[in-house]
Amino acid sequence: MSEDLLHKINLKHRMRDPLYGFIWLTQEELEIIDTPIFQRLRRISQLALTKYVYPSAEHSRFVHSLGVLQCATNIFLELVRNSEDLNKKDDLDILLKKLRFAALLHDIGHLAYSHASEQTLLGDTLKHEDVSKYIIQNYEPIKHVLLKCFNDATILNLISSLVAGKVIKEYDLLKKIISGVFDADRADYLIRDSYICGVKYGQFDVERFIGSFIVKNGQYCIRYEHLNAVELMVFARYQYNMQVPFHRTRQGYDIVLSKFIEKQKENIQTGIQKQKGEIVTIDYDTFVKFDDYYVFELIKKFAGEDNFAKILMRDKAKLHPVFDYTCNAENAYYKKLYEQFIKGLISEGLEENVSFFKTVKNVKIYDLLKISDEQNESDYKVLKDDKLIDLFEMSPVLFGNTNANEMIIYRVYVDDNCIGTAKKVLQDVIE
Amino acid sequence: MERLSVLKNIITILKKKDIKLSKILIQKVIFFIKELYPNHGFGYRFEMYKYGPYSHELSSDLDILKIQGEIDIKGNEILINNDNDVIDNDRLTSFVANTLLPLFKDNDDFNTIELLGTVLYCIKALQENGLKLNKESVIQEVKGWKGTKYDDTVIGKAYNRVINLVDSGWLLVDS
Repeated sequence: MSEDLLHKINLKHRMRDPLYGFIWLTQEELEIIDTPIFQRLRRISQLALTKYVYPSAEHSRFVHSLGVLQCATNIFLELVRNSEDLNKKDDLDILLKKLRFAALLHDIGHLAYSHASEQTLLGDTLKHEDVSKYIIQNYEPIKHVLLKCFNDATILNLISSLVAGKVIKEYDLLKKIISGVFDADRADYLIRDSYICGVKYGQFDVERFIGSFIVKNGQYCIRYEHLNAVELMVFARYQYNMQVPFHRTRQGYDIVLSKFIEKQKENIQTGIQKQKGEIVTIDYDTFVKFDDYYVFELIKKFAGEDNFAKILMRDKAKLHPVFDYTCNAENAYYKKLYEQFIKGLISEGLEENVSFFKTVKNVKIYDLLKISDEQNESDYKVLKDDKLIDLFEMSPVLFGNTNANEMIIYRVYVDDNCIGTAKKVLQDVIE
Repeated sequence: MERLSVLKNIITILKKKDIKLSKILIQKVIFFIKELYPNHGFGYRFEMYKYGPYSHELSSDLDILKIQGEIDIKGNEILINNDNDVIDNDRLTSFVANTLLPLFKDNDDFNTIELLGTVLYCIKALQENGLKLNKESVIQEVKGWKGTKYDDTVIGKAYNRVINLVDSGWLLVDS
């Protein structure tokens, strides 16, 4: 079945990849990859300034996008192989093609340095997914390929809604593979980022994980025999989050980069025109040039005068996380300690966002309860002996940890000049 | 007003109206605001989950309000800690109090709230995907998600309530 399906979609080209060996592509996918807007993803780093912590983290959203295409394909083929409900359908090749386009395009709208710039440049109401959605629906070279491939005007709506929108029930399965809890995006970035960073946090049994799903009564479920592989992926994600994106040094650089972008906002041309919280138009020539290099040129330009730029150039010491506590969310002691520390810094004459920077990060360890916490149940079912059973009932380890360990990371970073004062304040507060 | 302030204000409005603030009600009220009210100021993404449209980001913002000590979350209920005044100098306050709350009547149970949210999600999904949008197509779509949980008559009534709420300019229904 898998071979038949792959044959039907007519894979013609291949690219090397350190994780999958080869990633095979259709002619139409290659046409999209060859557009300037997709090539731009080569210049958007996958992990922003994580390379200041893990030096080899130099990979791009380009390789990740190709990886998600391959991973989504692998999950889909296994799903078809496992699911009687699914393998009788006669349009599986069309479904697979749609899934692959959505996977390929899922990150097309990321701004330079991704999350560090998006809040500042897009505001509260827009996300990079909205930019992706707009590009898929309006960027002529991509539109042309999709319309040619499917000969149906609704394909643009479908692919964009799989990436960032509301899907109809018929496509819920594809949506879960693209952006569910156990999706190809997370699976690829966990194994890719951990591999390239050289850390063990994020690694899991991806081969077994990929075959862990089955469609039963129209629902995307977990196979009981594979439950440990799914649990391991969830644990890996937690460890990865704590050691890579939430790493204290990386978070310090994120603060600096965000502050720099905030200061330079007026000098930055993204090409995106907004009005009343909606994208009105995108100037694609400008957007294609708005990449990590663009921002770094700006950093270099201001490196002589701007402290944030100096830190990013490594010409000035990084911010120091003098206060760094990760604790149970219910723990009042650390919350109070944090508040008193801030008060102490202010009373010593230190100014927020100049001499010190605070951040509070709420972490729900496994993040599964959030999926449907309206009734404290999981959104996922496990298939055991032909019965569908709530995931939390079958996996006490996920349920127990999800409920018990909501955590908070309290961090206060200080400028190099203020370390002595801040340490003294901390000592006083602790005593 | 920044996102968290707007959210806090909405929670305060609901509290002042003596509405029991369940997690599902907050999720669905914010979903309705996001879909129907212009310049709402929210970037939350809602996806269809077990009990209708749901936003992780909204859930995270509620957690932030909890960390800040503004609200408490006990089981499935959200409690406001500070007796703030409603900032009622904007149209949003009026939209929530006068237009939205009558939809979620005091006696609406969990299932009805879920259904109303699901109906609006289905309307918007059909619309966004360029598909035929009318009462029948919405009923079929809701049944696709919910199976036999709600019969056609119940879904039809929920559809009427949602569609009556909406200004004609917001939702275009094929005749």
